Amino acid sequence: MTSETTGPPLGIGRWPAVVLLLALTAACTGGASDENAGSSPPSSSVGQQPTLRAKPVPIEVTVAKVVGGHLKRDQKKQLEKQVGGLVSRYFDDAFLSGRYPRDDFSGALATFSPGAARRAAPERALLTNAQVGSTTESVVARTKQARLDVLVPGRHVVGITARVRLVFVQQPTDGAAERVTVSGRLLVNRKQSGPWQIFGYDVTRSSVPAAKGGSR
Amino acid sequence: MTRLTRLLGQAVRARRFVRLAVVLAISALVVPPASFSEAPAALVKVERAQDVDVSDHVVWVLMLGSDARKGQSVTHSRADAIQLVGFNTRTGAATAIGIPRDSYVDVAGHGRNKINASMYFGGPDLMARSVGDMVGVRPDYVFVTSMWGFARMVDGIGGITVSSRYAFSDRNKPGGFHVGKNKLNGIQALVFSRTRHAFAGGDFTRSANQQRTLKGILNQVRRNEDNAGFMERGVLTVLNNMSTPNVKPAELYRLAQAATRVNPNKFRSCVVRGRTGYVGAASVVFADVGQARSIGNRVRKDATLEGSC
Repeated sequence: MTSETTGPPLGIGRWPAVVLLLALTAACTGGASDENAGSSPPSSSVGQQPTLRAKPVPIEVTVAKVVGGHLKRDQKKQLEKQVGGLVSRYFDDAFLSGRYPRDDFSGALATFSPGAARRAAPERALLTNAQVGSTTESVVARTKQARLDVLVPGRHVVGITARVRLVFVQQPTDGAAERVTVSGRLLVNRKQSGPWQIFGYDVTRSSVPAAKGGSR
Repeated sequence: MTRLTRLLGQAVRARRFVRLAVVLAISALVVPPASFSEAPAALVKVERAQDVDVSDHVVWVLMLGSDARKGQSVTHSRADAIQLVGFNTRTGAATAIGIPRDSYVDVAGHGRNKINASMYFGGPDLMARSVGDMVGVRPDYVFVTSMWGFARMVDGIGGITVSSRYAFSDRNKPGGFHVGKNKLNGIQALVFSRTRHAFAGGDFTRSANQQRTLKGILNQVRRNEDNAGFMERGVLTVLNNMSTPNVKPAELYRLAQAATRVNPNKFRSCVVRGRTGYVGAASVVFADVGQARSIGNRVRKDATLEGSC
């Protein structure tokens, strides 16, 4: 009842109109599927367009193994936040974010080291959605996961293997929806106190037809 | 009262309906047009991409086994095992060039001597120079391990399996080494890599066995690289048991990850041939430097050896 007693009163008869307006606005701007694809956090400010955004899928990240030294709990948390954020950003840049149909994948490998990004260029079809972006109507994230194996030979972390898994459903503009899984290892380290970067990858991508009506 | 109650009831039902409509509408937008599940069975095409950012696609590493005893300097003793290994992270190819340790060569600043004396005189740098002069390929890295360090590293990855061309016995391996596959622990791998008197080919066979050991290590790493923490434990073992001059741990981590890109089926090896003889009382190998240079020229740029040695 709280919602009915706060703010300016809305007549009962106006609610369906608002709902309809929201639905139509979203539909007309293509916002329904496009915004679902976005996994960047929705703006906290009230947007000018009354579009609705999909709730971004948060990454599940855990430090699975620490080899060599020891990490305190807050160090683990910090690492999970930083490297989980890095992996999540890669997934977003390469697959999930942007407005589909999407042509611009220029920043898809921004989380890679310059050398790794150069090497990955011939494999963009697998490491990003570049090959199918322009013929894809929507991309909806299902799962983002990262398990981190951390090497700490002394006081500092020198390398991390992130065992990652991304699952999303993509709807081609023409054809049946596919459930895509990108999984494998991302190799992560950083120079001095610079940002964490992906310096290597061993990633597979597979897809299966997605059937309507089942569970998510 | 009755009419008022009925109106209130209608209002509540209407609000409920509106709330339901809002939820459904939002669901229709937020949740995709339909929810999906994986089909029960499907032909899945799995594509794979892999690479590691190292300075170049082709990396040459001089791997040295020091004959230092406990208390001696590992990096300023003689090198018992000398393997120049190149790997290509783009193609997965790798080539190992085995140098007989008694090869009689020019050692810069020290006249002619056995090549393995280079490390005694000038450490890994001079050793790299002597091998580079002989083969014509300058190594990017030099890794030196002691005998006990090597054994620990092999144990650290869970042992290895090597394919032996010869049967021979040793007290460290009950039942001896068989022709064909042998599962070895660290000490046994060390014996397999150091034994030479059991073979007619002496130092040449030993060098070939060191290459079989390298392949066994590679196979073991490739088999386990997907296991959680395996690569990290491996690199830690290397850091603890191997001298890696001028290589920071983070760089070593990259290098180790890059080395796993090698496809064991694309691993080729040669031992530089030569004839044995004497200089004074010392037994030496007069290595075929022409052959060493020829191999070097063929593999320098891509670490890929086509055809025979």
